Amino acid sequence: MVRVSRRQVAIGQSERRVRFLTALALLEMTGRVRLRTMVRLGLLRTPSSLLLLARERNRLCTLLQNRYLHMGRDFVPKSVNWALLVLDALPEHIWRLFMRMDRATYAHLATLLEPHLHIPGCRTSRALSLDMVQKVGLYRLGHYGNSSSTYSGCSSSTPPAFKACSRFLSFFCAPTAISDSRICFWLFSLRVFSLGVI
Amino acid sequence: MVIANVFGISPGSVVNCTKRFVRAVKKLTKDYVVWPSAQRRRELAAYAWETFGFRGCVGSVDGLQVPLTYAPRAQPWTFWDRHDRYSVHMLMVCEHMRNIISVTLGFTGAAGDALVQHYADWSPSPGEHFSHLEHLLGDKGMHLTVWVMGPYKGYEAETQAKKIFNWQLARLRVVSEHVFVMLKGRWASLHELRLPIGCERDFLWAMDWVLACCVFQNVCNSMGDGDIPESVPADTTGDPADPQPAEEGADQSRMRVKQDVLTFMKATGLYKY
Repeated sequence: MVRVSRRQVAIGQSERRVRFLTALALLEMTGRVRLRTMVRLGLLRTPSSLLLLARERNRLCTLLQNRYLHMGRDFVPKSVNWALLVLDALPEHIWRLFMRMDRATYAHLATLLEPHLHIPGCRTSRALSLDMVQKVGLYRLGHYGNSSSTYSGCSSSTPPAFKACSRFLSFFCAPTAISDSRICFWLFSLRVFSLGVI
Repeated sequence: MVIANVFGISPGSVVNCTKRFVRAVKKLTKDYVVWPSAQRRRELAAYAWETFGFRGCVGSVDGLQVPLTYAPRAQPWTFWDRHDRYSVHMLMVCEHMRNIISVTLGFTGAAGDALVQHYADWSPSPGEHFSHLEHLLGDKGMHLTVWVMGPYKGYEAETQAKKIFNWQLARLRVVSEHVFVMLKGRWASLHELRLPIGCERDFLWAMDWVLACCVFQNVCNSMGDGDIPESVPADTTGDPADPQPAEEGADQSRMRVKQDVLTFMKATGLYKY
């Protein structure tokens, strides 16, 4: 019998809720579904499922970010830059197997490429670092048969529902400069104010 | 091995990273893949003369096929080469210190070395690229001219003197083969380019990929990352090119070089009677 942690169960439940709420919010926004409460409260412009979706998305995000912090003593928590940390810690001869050049040449190359790799208008937090771009490029050029492997058999760490939810929120209500927590707060304030609680 | 999983990014980001990276490397081409100046060519020629007996040899030229994993969608028969595979062609000129000084890209695998040689940037204007008596060493597949010296082949190579000349030429020309092996050994994606070529844009992308590998090879050489002995001093000045190369035919030019080489080999005891 497979042992599943409580955190994994919570992530699975949250993912399912996000998936359901995404569909529901889409239906409400397109006018296919009109819940009685919404009609009664006159909140057609802000579907209630959108608020729940934002809240659930925030919870899922927290769960995914902290999923490695509650493991055993021997478990090493991994971050987004885990691969870079491992690569930088490798001994020289193994480093050469990955990057095809020694560290001095790599540093020299980074200096050469920095003005050309930098994109002036790109200021988002999700933009990849120049170090990451250089490592990925060198790895791909320096290894045989790695181009097709980027397309097949790849399982991304981000769940599809989370991606769909992000796209949905960013399309409907989130300018890129505003964080999701602030959007959630705005929606929540709007909802509470509409219900007359405050 | 999946790069996306190794680095924790999406497959699309891997593709975007590579494009961004190769585009940036392409901008370094004019700094790292450059034809040597007249002063540097004199130093290279002096090295070839003192070590191998070739007067005025500044490097060697050879062609290389980069195989493609997938058949191109448009006119695939033009990519079919003599090794029975789809490939793109690159013509590379290397100096004696294994630096790549010229790369000619844009031809499919069906094109021969002699054809690509005519379209190399140094071929139409040899006066700007070669000084007096300077030349490159090529193999049998090259079009032999005053500026590209090659071995005797067929019935021409039956005499002892010409066989020995061919042997000595191969000793110096092997540098280009070394560069090919180093290039493909270090940048292993050139063993088989896994890029789908469906239009001109894809083809140009494959050319940029190959060019980036050549630039990296020179960057590594310039940093001493490759265990290459430094017997020729670095380039110091950029003198203007001499006016005109020798006004003699390819056969006369090769005959003159052969006499020089054989004289050198007899003097150094390499000539086997």
